[in-house]
Amino acid sequence: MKQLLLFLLAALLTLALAACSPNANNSGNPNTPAQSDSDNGGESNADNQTDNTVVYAYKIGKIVLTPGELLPLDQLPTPDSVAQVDSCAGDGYDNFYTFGNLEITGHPTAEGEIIYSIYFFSPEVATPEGVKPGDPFTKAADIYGSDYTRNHNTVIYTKDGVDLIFVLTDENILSIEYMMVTE
Amino acid sequence: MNLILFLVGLVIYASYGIGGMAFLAFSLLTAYVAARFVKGRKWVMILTVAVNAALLVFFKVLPYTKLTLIAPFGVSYYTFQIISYLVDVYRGKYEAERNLFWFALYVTYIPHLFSGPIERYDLMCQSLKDKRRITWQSLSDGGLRALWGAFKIFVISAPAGVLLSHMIADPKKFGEYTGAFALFAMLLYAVQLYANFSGTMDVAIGVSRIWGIGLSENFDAPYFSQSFKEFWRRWHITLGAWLRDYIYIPLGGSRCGKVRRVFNLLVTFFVSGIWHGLHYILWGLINGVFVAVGDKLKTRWKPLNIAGTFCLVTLLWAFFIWPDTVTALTMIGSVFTTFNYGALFAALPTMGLSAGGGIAFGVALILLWLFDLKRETLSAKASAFRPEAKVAIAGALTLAILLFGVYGIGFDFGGFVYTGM
Amino acid sequence: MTKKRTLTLLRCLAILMILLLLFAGLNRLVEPKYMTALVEGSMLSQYYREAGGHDVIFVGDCEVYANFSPLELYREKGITAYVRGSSQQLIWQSYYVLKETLRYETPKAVVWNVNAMRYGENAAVIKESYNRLAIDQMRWSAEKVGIIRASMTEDESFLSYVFPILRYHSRIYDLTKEDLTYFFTEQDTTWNGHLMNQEVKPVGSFPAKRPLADYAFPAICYDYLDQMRKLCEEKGVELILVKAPSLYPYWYDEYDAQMEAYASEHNLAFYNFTEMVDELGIDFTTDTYDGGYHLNLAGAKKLSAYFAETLATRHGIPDRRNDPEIKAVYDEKLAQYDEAQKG
Repeated sequence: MKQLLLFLLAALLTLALAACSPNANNSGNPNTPAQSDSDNGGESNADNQTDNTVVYAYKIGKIVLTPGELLPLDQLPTPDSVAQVDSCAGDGYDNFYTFGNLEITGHPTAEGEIIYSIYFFSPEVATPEGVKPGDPFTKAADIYGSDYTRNHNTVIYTKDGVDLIFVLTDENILSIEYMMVTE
Repeated sequence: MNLILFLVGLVIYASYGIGGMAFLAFSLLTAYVAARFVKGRKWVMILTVAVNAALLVFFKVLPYTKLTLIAPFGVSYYTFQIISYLVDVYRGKYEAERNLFWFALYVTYIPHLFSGPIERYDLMCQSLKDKRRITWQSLSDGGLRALWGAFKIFVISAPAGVLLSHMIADPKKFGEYTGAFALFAMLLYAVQLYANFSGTMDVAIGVSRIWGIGLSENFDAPYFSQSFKEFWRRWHITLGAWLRDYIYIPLGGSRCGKVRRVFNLLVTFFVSGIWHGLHYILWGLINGVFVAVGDKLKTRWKPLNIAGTFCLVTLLWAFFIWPDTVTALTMIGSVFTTFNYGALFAALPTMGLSAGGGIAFGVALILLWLFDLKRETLSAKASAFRPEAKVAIAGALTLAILLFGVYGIGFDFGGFVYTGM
Repeated sequence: MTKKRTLTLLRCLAILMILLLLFAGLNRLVEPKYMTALVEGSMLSQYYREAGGHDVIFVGDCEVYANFSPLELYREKGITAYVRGSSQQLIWQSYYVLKETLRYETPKAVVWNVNAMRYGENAAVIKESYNRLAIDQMRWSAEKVGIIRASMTEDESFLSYVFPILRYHSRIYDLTKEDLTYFFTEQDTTWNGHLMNQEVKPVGSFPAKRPLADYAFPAICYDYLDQMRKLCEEKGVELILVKAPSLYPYWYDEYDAQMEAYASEHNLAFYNFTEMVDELGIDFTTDTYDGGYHLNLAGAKKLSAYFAETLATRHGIPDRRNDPEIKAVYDEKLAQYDEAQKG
């Protein structure tokens, strides 16, 4: 009985301590988060065809708007409207700026308001490469390549921390969005 | 009990990748078979050691291959053990193990596959084969040891990691954290690495003690060393011993004159550096130089020797913090040229730890320092504590870990630093 | 066993008991109390003090606990009701909350806000923080186990719900007076589950109404709606579907068509209040506290008055003002409720 009790206690202790189990992804070099980032970069995109010259950003004149970077509101024209979207429990908010047919979402951070996304669904607006809502998706694929992920009618290209998202209907582009990649 | 240990170990191992088990099995079986025929046949030893060493090099030095997906967990630790076993049997130190189960248990014993210690077969197999019983003593001693290790990991290493990450997570911002920040990073890394690695050892040794298995000590308060030579006898002791017995001494050790001794040291530390990765070769060589000349730098004043050794060791950790040699050397240089201590103190509250968290971290550091200072008397006394005291200490440690530990959602520093290398 | 060993064992057990008490105390100390800040976190738990005796139970998200006021239902038509709402309540959470409620009582009707039909298992709104607000203060039961397992994100662990110290241990450095004041007790922050807000923020702008590639509600939402419906059928409770009158997020016509179809197929009542704003007399320049997302008290009164009439005339919910016991309780509640509105 005593041995059984001891055995059970030993097993419980061992399992509890194994619960702080090692992160096997740390294998290789010790504690170099920067290094692990560079490790991951080494083998991505190796087998896919991508146009490496295209930058996923929107341009208004000379102003380049890249999701993830600071929103240069002072350089932009006065927005037609600004909507602030609250959560149910007051857990943060985003600002939706409308410039004609373009909607830019700003997200407040400690460094300032950054661009979370740039969205449009009007055929009067196009990407810098000339792709617009209403175009067949094949036009986008010719320009941006075949390195995308598809979930039903949503096609996502990802590069340099930005998602370029095409929402399709009957294989035509319904809307286009540049969005910051978040973890 | 040994069968349960073996099966549980296999299950845990499989959770880290079934693909890796094939390589583990290959190494285990080749070593087992080779050892049965190695006596008098140097070529058998060389061939088997070379094949297993080549596998180790393949998985360690070539990290970008897609095959790392099936890299065996703990490849370094079990490969070192296998090599030591083969060489020892060849040298006639002991007979080859006839029973595959005992040999397999030795190689796959899971607590030391995470981060060591690197056990010699003759020492460990006796521990495995002896009739063991779990006793209140083994449970309490082992449990306390393991809890102390967990305390070091979660209450010391993890918060150090939070602060450190603030400065090194984004390579684009390295330039913002030079001078005092770089020095702070190196000090934090010194703490994080030691607490994490030695804490892992404590857990492995403690858990093994619970089951009546003795594992070798791997750390002996290394930051109290008075020279690099002493430091490398007290830090990752079993790796140092392995390098000494299977690289340094076969090369001639210190028996072949001063120049040859220095050469042998440099080769040994070159191997140590390259085992960590290509980027660490310079680190290894610098350590080799300091080991070679370190005794000549010693003064008569013990605190100065300790402080000097600690400072140099800490500066050299730069190679582990920043991902390339140039950045590491630049950061070391900036410690002596940029004195932005005001900026560092101003930035402290923004580095991810609250004031309370910082205080808890500081108190835990002091406890670690005190424990290391008095470790010999404390360890002996702790074993003789009354049961009530042991229960109270275990409870206090557990509560401290749960309350002051850095873990859970948003934190990623609970993992062991040298895991599965 | 010798006497010495027995004494040692007893002392060890005593120390262990003290440690366990300390552990339990620390768990309670560090978990958020949700009494003054983020009161949404204590809404579901306030129900337990008042469980039973309600003819109508509302279940759903903030559109329910902000827009419907049970005490107004009572004032208008003597209807006894309670809102079991929580922030961003997802449909699987509604199911378990409903199931738990039906263990405590069997109302005549359950009203569920259909806004959550749009949020499937991959919805961006699913966050650990909302899960915690909903689940932390629930009493332990099979339903709490179910709601945790259904709601947990990848980062979360079941054990952290059992032992809050695993999630909230870092709060030890951020304790407030609230953590001590409400260590043993709880206060009511809602009015039968309604979260009163008298502020006024007139309607402003909203993000563009984006066309969607696919308007179909996720299959998982239909599954849980079916389960809720069957649960109500088993208990002889009428399930009533509503869409609260919020201006954002947009309630697409395609969404409405699906709910109309579902309601028609299963003989359920469905009220889309977004299309009845004029009839309700709601003015989004005065009746909202956040620019049109939720109604304030003035708006909630209008909606509740209308809905009270609907519940009484179309769904036969009885007038309980003739019951002296119920009247006494609710008269006192109404007095306090009206007093609180004076500021």
